[in-house]
Amino acid sequence: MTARPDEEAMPDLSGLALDELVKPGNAVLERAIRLARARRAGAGIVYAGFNDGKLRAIGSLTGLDDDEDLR
Amino acid sequence: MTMKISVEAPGIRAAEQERAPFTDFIVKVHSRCDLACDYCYMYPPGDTSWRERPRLISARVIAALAGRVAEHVRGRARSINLLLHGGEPLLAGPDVLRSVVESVRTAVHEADPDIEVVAGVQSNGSRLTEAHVELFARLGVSVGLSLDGTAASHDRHRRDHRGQGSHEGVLRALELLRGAGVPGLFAGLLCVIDVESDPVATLDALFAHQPPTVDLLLPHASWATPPSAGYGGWLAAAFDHWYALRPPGPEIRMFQELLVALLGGPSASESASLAPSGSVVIETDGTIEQVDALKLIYPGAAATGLDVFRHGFDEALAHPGIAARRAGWSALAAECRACTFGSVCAGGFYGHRYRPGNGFANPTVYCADMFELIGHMRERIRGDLAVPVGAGPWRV
Repeated sequence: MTARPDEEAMPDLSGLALDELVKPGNAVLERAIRLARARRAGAGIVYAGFNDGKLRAIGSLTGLDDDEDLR
Repeated sequence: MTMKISVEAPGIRAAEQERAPFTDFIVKVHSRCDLACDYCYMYPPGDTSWRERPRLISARVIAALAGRVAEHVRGRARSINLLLHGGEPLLAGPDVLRSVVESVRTAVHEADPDIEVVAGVQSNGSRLTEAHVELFARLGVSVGLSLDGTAASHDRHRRDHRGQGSHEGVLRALELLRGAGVPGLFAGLLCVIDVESDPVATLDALFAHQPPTVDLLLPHASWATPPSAGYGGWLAAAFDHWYALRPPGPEIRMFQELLVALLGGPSASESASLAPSGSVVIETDGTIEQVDALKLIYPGAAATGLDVFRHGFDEALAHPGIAARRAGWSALAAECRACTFGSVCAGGFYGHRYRPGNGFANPTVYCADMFELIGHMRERIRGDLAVPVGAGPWRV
């Protein structure tokens, strides 16, 4: 996986669970963290909208399986 | 039947990025439009190339296009997007729209049955009929509509050739789409920002139609034709309104992608991403072009000299203009590479970087606005994290 250019400079919070990382009641931030983590975990992710309340990852080149439910 | 966004990096190896195929095929099915929006990039002053193109895509172009798409993506993608575009794509009529979708899907399926072709149409809505809705529902084509917020704001910019506003037409289209009751048929709303409008009223006017997604677009500008001031403050106010909604409102892609980038993930936005662009445009005459918004830069800026009759899309990948848009970090200006938010905004939309004399090796002309917005977002996130953290971006 190619590191982001600022990878080394970024404080690493990846070991924290969502409820340790985000103050309660911020669904928008939680959703963004899930998405960031999913994209970092997989390669070539494609995601659909949130109209059914779910994130979905669909592998393109490599990575996660089709329609893997991330929530 | 939801439009999907391709993300190709920086989570994949450089070699894979270089050979990553186009995944977003923007097909100009009709080269004219029944509106004359004052910010339109398709018919810029001084560029009359649109007059020389056929109004309608032909059966010959459709067949060549389908074959080229299939040969290009075979074995290299799991899902591609086919976006019917214009001008106003509904001017092409249902038979042509159906032919494009079915031809591409058939060719791709025959070449590689594992690839899904996700089809959508981006329309101004003025000519949407029940026949269109039935066709799109049957074919699984999602429909995105252009709506610039409130009626007043929309009609200030989006008028027909007689100067009449088009807001009522969009409302009729929205009623038709929602009335069909087909999940995924309505893809979302696209809104060009009017900095003179109220950001909260604009978002509320959009959210009232319950769009799955909202795309906020900055008006096209460059260092040759800079925008007016105030977009950073407008966007920060809009972000605050969206971010505070409980339950969460529709996805606003600009904000969502910047949040993800601030949180250490790769952005999927064409306007703020280090990932190689996956988009390519096919005109009604079969010519292959770069993103059409480049037409505002100078006449012919989007041209590649390639067409689907004589060239494959692999050749388009090697075109210098397209390759530059896929070069990621190394293509950014020195100021961007030294910027705190360089890998978050990623230099902004490619066309917004243009400056006569040195081309695209510049920060976006909206640099100060993006810096203001991203800095504002960073502080909001910081306040909502349960652990004390230094300045982001953070790797979550």
